[in-house]
Amino acid sequence: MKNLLNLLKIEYIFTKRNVGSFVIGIGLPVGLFLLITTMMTKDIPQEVLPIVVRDFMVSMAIYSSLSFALFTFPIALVEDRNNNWFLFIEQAPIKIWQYYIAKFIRVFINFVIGIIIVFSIAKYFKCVNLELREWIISLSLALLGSICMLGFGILLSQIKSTEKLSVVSNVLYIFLGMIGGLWWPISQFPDSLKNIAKIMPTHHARELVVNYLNNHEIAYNSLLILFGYIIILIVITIIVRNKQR
Amino acid sequence: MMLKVKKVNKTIKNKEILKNVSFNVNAGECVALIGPNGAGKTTLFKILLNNINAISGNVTINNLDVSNTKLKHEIAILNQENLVPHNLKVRELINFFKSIHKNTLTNEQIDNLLNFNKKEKNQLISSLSGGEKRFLLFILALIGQPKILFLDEPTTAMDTSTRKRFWEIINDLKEQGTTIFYSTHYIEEVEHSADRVLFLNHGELIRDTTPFALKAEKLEKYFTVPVKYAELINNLEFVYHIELKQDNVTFITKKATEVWQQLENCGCTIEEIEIQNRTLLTSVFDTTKEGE
Repeated sequence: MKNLLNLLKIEYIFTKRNVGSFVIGIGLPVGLFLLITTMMTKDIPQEVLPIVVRDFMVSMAIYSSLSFALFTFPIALVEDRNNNWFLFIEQAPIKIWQYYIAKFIRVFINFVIGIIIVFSIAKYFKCVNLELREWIISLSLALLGSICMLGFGILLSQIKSTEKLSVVSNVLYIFLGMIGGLWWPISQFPDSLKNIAKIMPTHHARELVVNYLNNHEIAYNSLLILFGYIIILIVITIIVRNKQR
Repeated sequence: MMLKVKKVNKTIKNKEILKNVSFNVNAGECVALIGPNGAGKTTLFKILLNNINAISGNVTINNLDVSNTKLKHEIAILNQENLVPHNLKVRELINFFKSIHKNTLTNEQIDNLLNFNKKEKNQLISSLSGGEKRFLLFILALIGQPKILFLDEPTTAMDTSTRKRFWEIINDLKEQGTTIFYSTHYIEEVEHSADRVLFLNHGELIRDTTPFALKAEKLEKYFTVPVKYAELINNLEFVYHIELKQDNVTFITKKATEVWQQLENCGCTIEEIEIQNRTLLTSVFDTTKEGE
């Protein structure tokens, strides 16, 4: 426990000295949310507009988490390896799971802050009205979806070069965002693309929250698919890691 | 017995890096690992430190497998790469290392070893010079008061005075009974500090001896003769590394008597030539320098 606190102190320092990446991670979804919801008012009938804005809020909350899962988390892990910090930890009297828990807590706090910022902007600037219970459950479900997407970050962290990692993360960020229906609803996709969209983890992370807000029930199907993703990604990571050793 | 390495083999991408390496290091010994570039020193270090797995063989420290986490309080390591997170301050790093070890040096002891003032301790690692960073990493390794120290090319990037300070500290640690295992690129660091020397070449441990005995192994003679004998030297079979200079020729041979007979037959006098001994130790470090 003491070592975990010591590691968290270091993670806090790392975050404090690298605040720019956090601002970028949250800035893009917030910017997109404000821009697109402002443009929406012209084309969408007033009676469905609040629902569309609310659903887009959920999309952008998931999108902000995606940025932390695909950039902040793997880049922190790769940097730790490249600057020998990970080696220090491996060689120090610290259990390696404590290191990963500290990293997880850091990215989890990023998720929480990112989602709360998107929700707050939606509430105070775009008049999205939910009951407190709905806000809390939406936040919890969005966090659950975000955690499942961390599987991609863990796998990406096996890429040794930060440049290569940055390219792959960018491609995946755009692909998962666009095809997963975070940028625009998949109902507007051509049929062939719809089938692909429906297996995207981002679609199911969004679906978890949207389904709750629409029907007040948990989309177990989406939950199962997200767990499936994380298990497959972790298994691939273990195989890659063992090969590297 | 402190460190026991038994029949360690390692192959990377179908290339044999280590072949059947076995040796022991006793408690309180200071042992140097030497060998030309590409000999497998770093791979051996990584296996000793459990950073990579050997294909076969085993490494134990105090009869515990090297992967045993109980050893983490006993061992400290100075890795070859002079790397550390740049966005941490010196004091933050020191505090972190103090917080994770049980039996640590006091702040006063750390300050005495490190000799950084308050302002220096408050600066980011990125603003330290390569030598300062290296020395800081060394001091960080000492914070937990380890019983065994692994140092992979420890004095790389250090200037002369820092290097001197480093060896003073090593001598103090030796007196305190700390076991030290290190690799180096500097001949004087083997001659003056090691109790024993392990010589690794092409992945094989070809010597486990003392620096004195290794230095005494006279393997080759280094000749310098006037340039007028260049044609004769070029035609000799048992000479190598021939270098033609402005007024002399230098070469190396293992058959000094035969070379001298040939030179004498051509009218060479003893006053015209210069002969130096080349030991295994000097030849290792010459090869290492050539590779750098």
